[in-house]
Amino acid sequence: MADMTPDQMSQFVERLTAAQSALHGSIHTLLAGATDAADVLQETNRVLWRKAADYDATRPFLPWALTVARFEVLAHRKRLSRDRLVFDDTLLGQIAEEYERQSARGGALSALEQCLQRLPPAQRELVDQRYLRGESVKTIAVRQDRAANAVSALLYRIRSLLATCVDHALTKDEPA
Amino acid sequence: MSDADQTETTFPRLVQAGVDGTATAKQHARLAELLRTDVQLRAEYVQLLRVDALLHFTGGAAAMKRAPARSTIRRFSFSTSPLRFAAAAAVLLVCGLGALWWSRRGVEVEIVRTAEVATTEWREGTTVRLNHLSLPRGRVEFRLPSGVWLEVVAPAELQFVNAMHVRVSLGQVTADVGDRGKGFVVDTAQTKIVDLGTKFGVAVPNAGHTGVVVFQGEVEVFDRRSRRASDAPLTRLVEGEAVRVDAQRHMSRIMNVTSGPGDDAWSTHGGETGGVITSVHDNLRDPAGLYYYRILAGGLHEDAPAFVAKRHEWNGLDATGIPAELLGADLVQTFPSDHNNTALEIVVTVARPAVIYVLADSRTEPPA
Repeated sequence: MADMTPDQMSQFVERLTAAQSALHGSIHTLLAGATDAADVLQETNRVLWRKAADYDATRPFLPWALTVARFEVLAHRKRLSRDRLVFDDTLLGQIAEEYERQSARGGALSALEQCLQRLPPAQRELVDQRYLRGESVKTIAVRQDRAANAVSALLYRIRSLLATCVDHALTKDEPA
Repeated sequence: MSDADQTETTFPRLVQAGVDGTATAKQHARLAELLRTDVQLRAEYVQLLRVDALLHFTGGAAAMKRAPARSTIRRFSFSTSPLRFAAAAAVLLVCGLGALWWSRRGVEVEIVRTAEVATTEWREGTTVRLNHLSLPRGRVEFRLPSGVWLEVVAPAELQFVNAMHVRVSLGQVTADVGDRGKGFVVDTAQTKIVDLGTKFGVAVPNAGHTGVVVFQGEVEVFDRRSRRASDAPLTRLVEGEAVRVDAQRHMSRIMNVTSGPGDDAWSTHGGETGGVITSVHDNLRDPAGLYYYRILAGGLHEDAPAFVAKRHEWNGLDATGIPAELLGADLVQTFPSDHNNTALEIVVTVARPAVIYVLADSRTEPPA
């Protein structure tokens, strides 16, 4: 870090900031949606800062950062208790490759925002409850007087719709 | 039903169970098997988890967009203002001062009050979007979109996961969740604290342990490693109770909570209130609850609460009220359980020579 000029540091900060959602997404996916993704992201950011001087600014930032994130997931996994359900190294590698392939198309965040606007009000409300208010499926189910499985299934359907919508939006923006 | 049909019906359930943290070992193994062997399902899985991650990451950003614009809103959007971002990052990295927002996403919070903070950007009444907060000194009060009021005391490191969830790595946080914030969650390295409608405090002096203090209402304290919604809490704390959880999840009673006359500047290790009474201990080895003694520096006044968890007050015996020589004295609030325990011994430690008054309940005979 000490060898970086102010311009290089500024550029690094900009790229690291722009990569946050992709890094979080990668860690979240590799940890299969576990709640500790934010901790691993924080650790990944620390490692990236420490390695900032090693980064070759002529090369794409995201693949390099995703590799660091993947190693942090592996390190985190070793620290987890044995009863935690985690994927093996081979499968983690396969998922990481697929994630990198999908995230190579940028703009997912903007696409998702547009797709969210198209959801019917009831589905938007459910998204708000789960992600804005951070309520558990169980809490939502109790309030709505529904089975937790039914709420889970509905959330799955919404995520599936959003995933398809995001994919279409990104495909549409790709050059022919 | 063909194998393909069966896969279609089970895959969503397996993914959902994984995302919800309710997957059994068998379900997890089945999901791993499908992902390992089916390229199409793997791509679908990544698509779904990516959307789930983005929704978590934005913390319901779309929902916030629907809120009417406020004239006082200030957005710190580094992607559109790299110079400001670089400057803010430089402040944190080079000088170790101020706050850093790691991403342009996060939670839009209102700055209610600040004291002794390094940044001049935070003016009371303005709104900023925060994700990670690094506060090297001072204290800040925030209002979250969920209505939750949050006070952060430095040195502090925390992350605003969403409007109902913060993660504290270091520092002291007090939350008053109000009517809408029931279910508010504070994570630390050891615990996940779920509010059940209350005002409570969390102290993380280092990575090794967490202190939880309940001022009003009730909270549930879970092991942070718990993944299943059905997992039982480590403990449930009610008003007047406090607990310390260490890295091995061993719990111990916090015996003292010190503060000024109100809930301000509370501390579980004495603090710097300038008060005369520094600590209170008892000989209870197995108390009925995890109650603490509340030491209020300068807290004795007419109608001052007598106990930590009951509504009784101290009042003067006549219209003249509390005797003038006692007004503004340090007050120790005891707790009502064990009141029939004749073996109870309470030791009060003072910082300098002092006159100690023992106030007796007017319903009982004065001690001989």
